[in-house]
Amino acid sequence: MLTITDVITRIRAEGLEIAEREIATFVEQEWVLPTRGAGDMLFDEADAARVKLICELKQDMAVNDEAVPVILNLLDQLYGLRRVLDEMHEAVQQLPPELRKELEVCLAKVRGT
Amino acid sequence: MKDLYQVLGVSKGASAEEIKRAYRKLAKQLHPDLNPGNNEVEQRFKEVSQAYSILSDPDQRRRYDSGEIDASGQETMHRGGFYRAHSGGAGAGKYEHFEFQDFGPEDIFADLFGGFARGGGGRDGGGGGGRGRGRGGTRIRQRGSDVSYSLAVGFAEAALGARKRIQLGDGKTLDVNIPPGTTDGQTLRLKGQGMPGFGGGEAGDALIKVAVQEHRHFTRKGDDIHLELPVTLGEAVLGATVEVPTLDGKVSMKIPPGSNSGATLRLKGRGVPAGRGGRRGDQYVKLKVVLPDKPDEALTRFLEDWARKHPYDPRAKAGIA
Repeated sequence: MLTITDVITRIRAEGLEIAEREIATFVEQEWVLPTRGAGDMLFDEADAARVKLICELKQDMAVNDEAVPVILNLLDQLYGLRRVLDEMHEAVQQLPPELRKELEVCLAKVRGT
Repeated sequence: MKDLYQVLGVSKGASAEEIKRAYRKLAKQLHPDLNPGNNEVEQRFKEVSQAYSILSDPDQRRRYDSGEIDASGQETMHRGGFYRAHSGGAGAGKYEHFEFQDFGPEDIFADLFGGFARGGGGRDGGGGGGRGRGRGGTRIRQRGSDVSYSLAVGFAEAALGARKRIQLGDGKTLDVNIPPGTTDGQTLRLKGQGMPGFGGGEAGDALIKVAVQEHRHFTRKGDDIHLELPVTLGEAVLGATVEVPTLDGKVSMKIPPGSNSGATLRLKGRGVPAGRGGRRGDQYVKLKVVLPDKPDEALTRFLEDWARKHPYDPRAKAGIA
């Protein structure tokens, strides 16, 4: 787990600007959800990467504050969808070959190919 | 090493504003977190970031233009640790959400996936931390590779078909069905008997190259079997019924009287099975008249007289001077 200072160090090492006040704002807005330790905020790897993403959106891509949560929401849905698809895929792989073939046929029909 | 201006798609005299704009445009296109599942963008994004980090700094840009530093001049501005690596459950579970309610309550998708909502709602293990599988990027699914074997098969086995067994290195065996009519050098493909696949990909095939052994007296031409049969002078002149070997064993064959050496007799249906419906090629038996091993006195005496009285010229007939 990383402290807010660790996160700042990492992000600055990538050539991005960041201050503690800014990260606090991100958390207030619920763009990132660190866990609350004893009064301190603790960021896991995913949280730290998410903070970096937010900085990149704002600095590299000039995304304004109104748009950041829109983008994050869409991304979360996208990754959620990919996860579901991935699980489906794994389940399909475990089907016996005949059923998989049947699935392929149905899928081709559905897609009109 | 690429030219940094080219990487950003700007001219050498571009203003700082132009450079910034060009970088932003590329970042929006190439940022890995905005392109999940695409492995190529990461490298390109790094190139673009690197170029921008040099050209956006007036001092660095000056030194690059004058040749003091090269394209890698700046110490690693290599962006790594992209958010997308944490997607897919374990790391980013608390953020990801996914709604499928519009499929109706009875639907298997809605049932299984439950439309997991952010912060721990949903039915089937939504929210917090999910399946404990941290993965990013694309899954690799690959077909296993084919494995080659060579197999020696007897002449009759190849012609009539057989089941052979190959001993594999690890003690396992592979049963191979040699179809009737298999030819020398033919490769038989056994689906799924090769190397296993990765990530759910199908197994490769076993490729069996067949080496058909030669037969002592049969030769094969297409679907027909050819045999040279030695016959006696008596059998050739007087005719006879003789036993002839075939793929099916010995069969009786009539030699017509006055059969000459080189005459070819046909045994129908004694060749190699061909195609479906029980069709078979034929066996062709070429006669070769053979004199007795030891000179026979009676024969010699008879011929001294007979040859004189019954001349004939086979060489002239064959056109040999």
